[in-house]
Amino acid sequence: MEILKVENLTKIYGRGLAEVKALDNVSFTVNKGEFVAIVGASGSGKSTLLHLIGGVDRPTSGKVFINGKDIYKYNDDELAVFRRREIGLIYQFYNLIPILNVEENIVLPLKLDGKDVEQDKLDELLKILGLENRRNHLPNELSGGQQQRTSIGRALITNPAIILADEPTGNLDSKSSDEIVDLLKKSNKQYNQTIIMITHNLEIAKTADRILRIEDGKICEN
Amino acid sequence: MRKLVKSEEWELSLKNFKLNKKRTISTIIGIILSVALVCAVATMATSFQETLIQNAISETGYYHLKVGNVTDKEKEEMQKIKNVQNIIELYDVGYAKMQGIQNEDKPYVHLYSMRNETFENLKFKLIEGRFPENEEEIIISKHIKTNGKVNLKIGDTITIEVGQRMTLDNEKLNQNNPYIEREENINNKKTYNFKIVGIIERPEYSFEDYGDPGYTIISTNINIGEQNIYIALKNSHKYKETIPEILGAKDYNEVKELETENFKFKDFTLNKELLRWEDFAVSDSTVGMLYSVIGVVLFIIIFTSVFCIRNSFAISTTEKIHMYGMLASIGATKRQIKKIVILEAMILGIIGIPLGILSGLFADFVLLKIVNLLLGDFLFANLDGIVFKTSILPILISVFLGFLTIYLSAISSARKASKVSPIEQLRGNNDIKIKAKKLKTPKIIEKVFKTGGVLAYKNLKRSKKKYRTTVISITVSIFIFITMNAFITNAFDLTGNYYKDYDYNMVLYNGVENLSQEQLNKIFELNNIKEKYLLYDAEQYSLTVTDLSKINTIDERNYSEDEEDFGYMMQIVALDDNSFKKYAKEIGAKYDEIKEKGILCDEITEWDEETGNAKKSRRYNYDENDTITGLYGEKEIKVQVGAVTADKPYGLEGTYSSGGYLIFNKDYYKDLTFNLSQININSNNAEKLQEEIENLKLNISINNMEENVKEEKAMVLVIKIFLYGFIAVITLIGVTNIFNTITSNMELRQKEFAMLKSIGMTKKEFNRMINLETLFYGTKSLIYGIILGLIGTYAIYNAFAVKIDAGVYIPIKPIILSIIFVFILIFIIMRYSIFKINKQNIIETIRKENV
Repeated sequence: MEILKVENLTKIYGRGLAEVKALDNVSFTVNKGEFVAIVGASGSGKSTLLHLIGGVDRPTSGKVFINGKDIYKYNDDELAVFRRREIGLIYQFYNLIPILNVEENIVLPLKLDGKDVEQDKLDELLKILGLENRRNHLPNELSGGQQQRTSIGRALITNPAIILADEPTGNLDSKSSDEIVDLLKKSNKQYNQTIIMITHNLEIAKTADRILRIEDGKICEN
Repeated sequence: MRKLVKSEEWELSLKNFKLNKKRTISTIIGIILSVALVCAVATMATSFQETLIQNAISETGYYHLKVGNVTDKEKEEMQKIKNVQNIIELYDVGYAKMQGIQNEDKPYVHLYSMRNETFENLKFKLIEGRFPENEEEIIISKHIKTNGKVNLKIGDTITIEVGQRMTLDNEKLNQNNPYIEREENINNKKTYNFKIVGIIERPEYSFEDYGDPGYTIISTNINIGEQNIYIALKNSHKYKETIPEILGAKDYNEVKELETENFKFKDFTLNKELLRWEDFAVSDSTVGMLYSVIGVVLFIIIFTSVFCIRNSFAISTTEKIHMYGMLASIGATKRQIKKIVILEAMILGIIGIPLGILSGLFADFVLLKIVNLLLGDFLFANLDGIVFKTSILPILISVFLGFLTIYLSAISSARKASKVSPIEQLRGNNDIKIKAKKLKTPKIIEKVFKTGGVLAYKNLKRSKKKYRTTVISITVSIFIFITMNAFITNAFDLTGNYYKDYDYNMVLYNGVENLSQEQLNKIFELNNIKEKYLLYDAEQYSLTVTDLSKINTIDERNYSEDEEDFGYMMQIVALDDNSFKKYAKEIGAKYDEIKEKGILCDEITEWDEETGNAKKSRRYNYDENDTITGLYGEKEIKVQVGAVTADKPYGLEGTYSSGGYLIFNKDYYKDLTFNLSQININSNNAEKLQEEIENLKLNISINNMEENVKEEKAMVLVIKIFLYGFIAVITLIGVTNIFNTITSNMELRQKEFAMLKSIGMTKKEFNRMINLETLFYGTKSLIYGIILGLIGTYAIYNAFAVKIDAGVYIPIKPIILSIIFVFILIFIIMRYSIFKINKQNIIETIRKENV
């Protein structure tokens, strides 16, 4: 079942001589439950692509369909609501709200939606993340790996259509990196969660089901 | 390395300014405002002093000590004393009887001889003509005509026999001795012929005493009689040493206590007014009070300024933390980094302080012009208004306090900057060092305000320090505003703000009782009378009540049990029918029911001598429909009480009767006879009406209260301008500070905001979070400010020692104004910050960190 369709996506930054074509007419599809890795050199347009899929930025031209819906038909507010229900975002740095503890950070998208928290689901999630003993800690009291695990928790809690991860292990040591990748794989297998992950590490990329390579704003499948 | 760092230091500091122009500018504005305020306050003080000095001089002339009966040689000796600047002299030639003087107590003319220089210096006011050129010409004072009723004019000649005033026992008499017809003579008379060449205003009482039995007349070149000299000192602050030296006293105490036995010169007068203002010593009660008020004001200014400016520096330091870490990592010592921060501060000072001083002087200048425009006519008889004067002292004080403020503000930032370790900085933003416990949020916040509220609340808890200055700024401004209001209200009640509640602006009295109906009608026919209220006295004036059972409050000081006839006197008055009707309506009584009865008005004020507190109560126990029995003249009469009130009727507002008043309707109460005592008029053109009434030549006294009202209103306005102006500036200083704090806070949290948006917070929810933050700390500051304001209000009421038992005065209006102002202010700033944040792209922000 097709969960994501990207059609002729183009993004141009700047104007005139300073014009940068970050994405050039990109098209592809992803099915539900796929674990896709996007690789490419620095500046190749990976992050731009990810942000456009997540509705965090608007394209210069082209369309993105998630679960059959053309997301760029939404206005800003509708896009925000869409993001918190259908997309889980994980970044390399600064994922968490510094004044909220682990638990609060994880349930934040639910709260923004006005939904109730199912305590047992939360507890189970914390267990899987290995954070049950840290649930009341603030981000500055956590290690890098623990922070990223919290981010993953936040991304998972709403059962989004797609999880988008931009270099999630870029800031971590090898042990933590492995933990994170394992977690992602687990949630992919266990919950049939669709994941698109950007990485420059080929080893990590190989753990995915499918690798997309980007060069100069264009896709070449592998 | 050293040299390199030095020029680098300058470059860095200068570059930093460009980095954040807005921050730099608003910090400079804060400095300018503070310094301007200090300078304005100090200059105001010097201006007041100068005005008082000039006023004193305009009345008495410029001298500090007058010594009587001095020989030329003694005068020369005095001139040699170091602190003596100038000596002018005159001759008290003597007295002469003058034909035609109709003042029994002032039958003489008092002849003086002086040079033109002395005449000018002693500030006689020449109305007509000129100063005499020789000993055959003379100047007379105007009040020989107006008071003595002798009709003299320029060009007339007079012949008088001038000599010494002496008692029958040949003791000398001077102007302090009143005229006693059979007990004095003029001895050693000499005849003089004078032509009148000039007329002066009646001299000030410092020259011609009220009791002087002779009208001042002045000629020149007659060096006979006693020589009196007027000494001006160079340095008036040293008067306590110089004056005893001149007089031959041991010390100033002897001068003060008038222990003159051993003095060289026993006949002397100090120009106390002038000395008082020139010396401006703290020991003087008025000056002392002025100094303490200024002290308090300056303290508030410095306190607020240090607070706000320090905050500005702290913010800019935080913004440049990267730079300081980097400097440390390339080898700059802690000292050098501190130097850079302080240097930056000093540069801001060098720009801000002179601008502040100029602004302060300019503001004072303009302010005084405005004040003089409004009040000039009323303030000082001989001056145009308050004199603008600045001296080195206020400027030095401003510079000193300005640099002190900046230095104090900068050192803590300097210390913080020098402590930044390079590693810690490069690692990342360690903004949050708070523990989870401290961020605990009460459940109700979430229930009522949802997620936005929770985030807002937590944010405030973590940024407590940052918001502290905002909270304090707002709190201080509100506190001052509310307390000032209490001060203004009290000060005006105390100075007898009588005129605000009057329904009329002119009173005709003294002589109205003799007017015939025809004459009265002539008055009432005049234009410009909107309304009139007639007040009558009863023939026997009062009703004495001795029935102790009917007396509610007895003044313990007057009462003794032995006194048989102890009682109180009710003053009996009546109003014309129209006025009575109006009065009845105002006090809530039914006119028809009471027009044949008396209205009892008996509120009294008791003063507790020890505490100085006033308590209002009723004098009597009489109620509506009671009957008052009392002594009226020789008879005992009974009066029925129609109504009881605390409000005095028209015409009696400014009076007080310890026995209260009984008010009747003249047209309906036939048991007593009344005589007209006052006509109170509400005029729409009081000046014109006064003229027309005077033209009727009815021999009555007219009190035009318009002038008084105008003066009082102007005074009130001026004081309000000063006080509110002060509050406005202090608040402005606070506002620049608040602006800084909030905008910097917003900037520092950019990443956070981008994060929230990326995980799906809508604009509406985002704005709500920001608005709730505003609400929370705005409310916090308001509550603190209002509580402090109430305490301040209570303190002021105590200080004025008039406690009104009727209840506590709650300054509702200022409180509401504060609330409105605070929220408007903060919402504006927040809107501005949100606007700037929303402009930025989420992507760009996230990119910044994730590249």
